[in-house]
Amino acid sequence: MNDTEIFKQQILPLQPAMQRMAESLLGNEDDAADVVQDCFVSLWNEREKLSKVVNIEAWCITLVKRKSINLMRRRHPTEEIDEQSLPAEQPLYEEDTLQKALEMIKKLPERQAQIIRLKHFEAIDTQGIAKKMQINEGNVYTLLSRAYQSLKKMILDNE
Amino acid sequence: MNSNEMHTNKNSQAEKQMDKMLREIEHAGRDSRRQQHLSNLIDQLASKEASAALKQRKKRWIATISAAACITLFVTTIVKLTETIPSAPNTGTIVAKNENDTIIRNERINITDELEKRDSVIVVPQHIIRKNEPPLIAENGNSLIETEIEESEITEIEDTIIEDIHPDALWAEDIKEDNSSLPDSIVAPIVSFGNSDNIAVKQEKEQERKRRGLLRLRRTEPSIMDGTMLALRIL
Repeated sequence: MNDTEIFKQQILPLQPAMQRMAESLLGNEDDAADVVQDCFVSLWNEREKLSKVVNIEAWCITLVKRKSINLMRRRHPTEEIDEQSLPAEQPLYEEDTLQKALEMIKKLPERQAQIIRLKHFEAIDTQGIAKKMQINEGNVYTLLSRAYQSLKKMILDNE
Repeated sequence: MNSNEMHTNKNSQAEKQMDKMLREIEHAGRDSRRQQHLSNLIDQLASKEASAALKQRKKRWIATISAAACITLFVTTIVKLTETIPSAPNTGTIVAKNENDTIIRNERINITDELEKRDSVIVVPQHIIRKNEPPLIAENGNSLIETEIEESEITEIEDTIIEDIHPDALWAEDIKEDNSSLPDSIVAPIVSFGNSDNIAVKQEKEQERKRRGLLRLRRTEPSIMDGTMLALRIL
């Protein structure tokens, strides 16, 4: 495995946690994504140091926190930022919720599962979904509605 | 709360739960796309680095080859220069005039060659020669000789010493003084001399030579004989 593969294996999986931390500080998904990208470039340039780091995840979270704070200071230079009061690590996902969602989607009929994935995971618009599924846009709304009903029923049944 | 209200509540909670799930799926989707983007970014960074490293390696190769070429050129030049520096006294120009002031010889000579033919060659520094002086003239018959030698050549000549300068050789100035009948325009002939084994005379002449700062040239096989002496004037 070369340098690049090793780096990707170690660092890429940390992206969601870094994104959450940046979002919680900056309150803005796009700014957070920029900061995380900046962190990745820094991590790549200093990757040789990473082998000496015991807890890479903590290192990366600290890095994203620093860069987010720096961005906040640049944007609001007169405002004092109390670093102590800033959030620590943010939960990745609500694991349980995501896990449940994935399990329920698996149980949906194929077309309904597909449309949920296209709409919510891949964030494709209605026109794009219609093209991919070779249905008209009216059918996209119908199919989505059915998928949501199925999901709701599963939730109710589980209670 | 009646059953309808309970049902409505449950529905409402289920909807909220579903929304939550869908938001989490959307989050996961966005993270997945961002990770793909970051993966591509890493590939680009790696590719850029590899390109830069390759360029750097190429530059180093070119620098190494250029340095080697320069060193080779330098060494070759030094060797050539060394080769062109003569290891023995080299050339001058001879203009030979007879007593009628007719030029009978005007040619480049090789001093080493001249040393083969003559007892000695004396190089006379410029300051010894008076202003507007004509060539030094050898007395012996038709061999009236003016010779000039370029100063850059003197370094080589300095390296060689005539051990056997004829003790009876006369210096230009002496001759001039001794031969006041000679026109001012002529510095007297250097030589026509015979043998002398007189060591004291030899030493005296040698000291005189040194005092005047005259240079001397060595022959490989010194011998004493009658003949002309080649006088060289340093330009």
